Amino acid sequence: MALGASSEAGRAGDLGGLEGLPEAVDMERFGVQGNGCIEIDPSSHPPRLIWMPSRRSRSVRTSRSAQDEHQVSGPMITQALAEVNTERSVVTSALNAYRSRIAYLRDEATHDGYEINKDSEGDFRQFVRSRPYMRRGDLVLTDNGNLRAIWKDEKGGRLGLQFLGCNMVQYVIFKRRQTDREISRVAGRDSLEGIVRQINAFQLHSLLCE
Amino acid sequence: MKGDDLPADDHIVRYIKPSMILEDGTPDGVAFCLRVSRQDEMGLSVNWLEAFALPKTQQLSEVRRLFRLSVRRNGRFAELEVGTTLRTVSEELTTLRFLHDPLEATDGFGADPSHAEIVGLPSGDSDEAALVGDLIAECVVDMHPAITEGSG
Repeated sequence: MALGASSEAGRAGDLGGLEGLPEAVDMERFGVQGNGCIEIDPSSHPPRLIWMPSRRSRSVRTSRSAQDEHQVSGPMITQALAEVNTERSVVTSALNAYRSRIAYLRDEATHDGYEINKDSEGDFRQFVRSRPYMRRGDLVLTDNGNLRAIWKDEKGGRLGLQFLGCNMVQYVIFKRRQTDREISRVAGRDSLEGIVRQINAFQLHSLLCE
Repeated sequence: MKGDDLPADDHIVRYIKPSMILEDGTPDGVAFCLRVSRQDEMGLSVNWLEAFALPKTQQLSEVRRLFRLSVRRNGRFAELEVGTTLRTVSEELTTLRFLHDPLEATDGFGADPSHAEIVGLPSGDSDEAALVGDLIAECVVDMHPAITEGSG
C-alpha cells in the first residue's frame, strides 16, 4: 500500500504527513465511514495515533448494521490505526536510511561553497515516501546542489534519478534486454508521479527491490 | 602537441570530488558532465598518465604534484582508458574526443604536460549529458587516492 499524502502535506513535516494518511489507508476497507482525522494521542506514552471522528459525522460509522456498530468499530479502527502506524514506521525507516548520507553530502556541499537544493531534497523525500519498500539507493550531489539517487545491479542495469525540484525528475535508465543481451539506454524527464510509470514500463522492480 | 587526440591505448585520470563518489567507491556519472554553473565550460579537465614515464605510481605522483585545484582526502582520481571509453560512448555519442591541452607554467604553478580535456560532451543540463556521464562512469577502470601519505 502506498501512501497518498500530498507533497504539500509531506513537506510540512511529521504532523503534516498525518494529514494524508486516512485517505492513504482506505479507512472504508476497515468499515470506517464518515469524516474524521488521525491525531496523536497526547495522553499515551509512547505517543500513538488515534482516529478522531468529526462532530458533524457524529461518530465513526461502519458499513455494518447500526446495532453492532459499537462492537465492531473499536477493533477495526484499532486495526486500521495499527496499519497506519506500521506504514508510518516503514516510511520513517526508509527516510532514516538516507539520513547519514544526506548529512555527509550536506557537509561536502558546504565545504564546496553551496547547499543542497531544498526543493530537490523535498522531492526526493516525497519519492521515498511514495515507495517506502524499495531498496535503499545511493545518493550523490550534482554541481548545482540537486540530489541524484542511483540504483545499480550486476547485470548492467541502472536507474539514476536527479531530483530537479518543482516535482520534476531527470531519469537515466540502463536496462539489459533478456532477448538479445543488448542494453537499452534512455534518458528523459518526468514528474514524480510519472517516474513511477517509467519504472513500471521498464520493469525495473528487481532493481529497486531487496 | 596541444590539440592532438590522445592515443587510444593510453589512460587519463579525472579528479572526482567526494560528493560525486558513490558509497561503493565508484564515481557517479555527474562527475563526467559539464557543469551547469559554468555555461562557458567546453570540456572536462583530465590528466594524461602517459605524459609521464612508468611506473603508474610515478605517473600518478606527478599528476598529484602538478594538479592545480585543491583536492580532498576523500576525493579520488578516476582512471579511464581512452579507446575503450570512446568505443563505449560512441554507441550514444560520436563527438567525444580526448585532446591534449598542456598547461604552461604560471605564478605558483609548474608547467603541466599531462593536462588534457574531454570535449564534445552535450550541454551539462541536458538529459543526454546525464546518460553519457553514466556511460563514461561505467568505463572507469580504477580509482586512486587524490592524496597519499607524503603528498598532502
